[in-house]
Amino acid sequence: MRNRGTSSVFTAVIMALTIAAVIAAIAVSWPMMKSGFDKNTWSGSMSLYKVGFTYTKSGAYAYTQNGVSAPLNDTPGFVGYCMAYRYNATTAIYSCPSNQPTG
Amino acid sequence: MSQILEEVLTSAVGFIIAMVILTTAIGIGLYGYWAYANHVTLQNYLWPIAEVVPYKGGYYLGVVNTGYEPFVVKQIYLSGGSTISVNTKPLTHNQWFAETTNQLPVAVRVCSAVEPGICIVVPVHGWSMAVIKPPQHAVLVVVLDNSCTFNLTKLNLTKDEEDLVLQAFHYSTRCNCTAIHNNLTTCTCPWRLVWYGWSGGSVCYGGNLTFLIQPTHGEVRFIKHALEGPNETKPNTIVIFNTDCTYWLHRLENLTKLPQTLLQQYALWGQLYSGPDQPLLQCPS
Repeated sequence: MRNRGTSSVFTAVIMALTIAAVIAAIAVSWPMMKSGFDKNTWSGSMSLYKVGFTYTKSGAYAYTQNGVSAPLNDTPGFVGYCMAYRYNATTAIYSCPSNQPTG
Repeated sequence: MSQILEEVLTSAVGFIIAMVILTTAIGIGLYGYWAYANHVTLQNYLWPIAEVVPYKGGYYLGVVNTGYEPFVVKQIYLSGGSTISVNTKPLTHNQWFAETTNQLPVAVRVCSAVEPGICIVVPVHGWSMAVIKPPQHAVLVVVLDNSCTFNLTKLNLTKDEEDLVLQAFHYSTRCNCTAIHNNLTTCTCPWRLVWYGWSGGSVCYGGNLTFLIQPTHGEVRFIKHALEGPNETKPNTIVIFNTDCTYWLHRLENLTKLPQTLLQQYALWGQLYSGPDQPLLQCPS
């Protein structure tokens, strides 16, 4: 009788521990899963991040699709998440998150 | 011995020992998983972007934090296999780190400022070239000289248009003419090209335009040799040449995108200042 009682308690405790472990695992996993989703979303948005160039009254400007703009100078400068500078009168050299890796 | 062991395993003491072992195992397992998940989570929220452009015989590298988890740049991997060790201050959201290198950077190692042991290696994005495009509805104005004054009210332009055209004549240049054999004279006129968009944008180019003056039938013929204008000299634009007090209009084809009234005004302008009453080209002696 004593063994049967111990066995029942043992089973109950095992079940409780299992449920607690599963809940804890889910709780721990959720931020990790969310961070994975967030990183995928970020990667997707960065792969589309581009820059355009035009002239305005005060000179050449670079602009990105999220509304960031900055004057285009002869030295590299930052425009949003892109880098760009004026190579000559009509050409700009730039690097953006959508560009291919160098390596 | 086996009876003692059986007693331990089946008694309340055994039960407690089993629970402790089990709980400890689960706890250690969960802690390990939490540590792993925390590591991956922090790694996933490191959002650096590394970019490079060629500059002055070397390379200009930029690293920006596009996320909200601060990080420091630790190492720059170069194409030759070497590395540059750097230890920047923590870069927060939208902050840049810039460095010039002699070799092409191919990757950058950044580490979390919160947990320095959490690092990732990110590739460096390469560069492209782009044409700086003028806004739509552009007018190209070539100004070779502005020694004359203009009364643009004759052209019935609006104030904005008048301002745009007037600005085109703020550049002063002079032609250089040389007499060659058989009464031919060649003139080289430095020119300024000022591009104006209707939104007010402008850009200036410079160059030389070579003319050949050839007397034919008692009139001075003006032969344009070559105009290597900028890329914007293409259809849907107007080019106006000003050659020392005399102005003439060169229309490029397919001027369909510009307002017809404006085309007529510019055409009138060209007639006014390149008509038969005035010599087509007057170069200073």
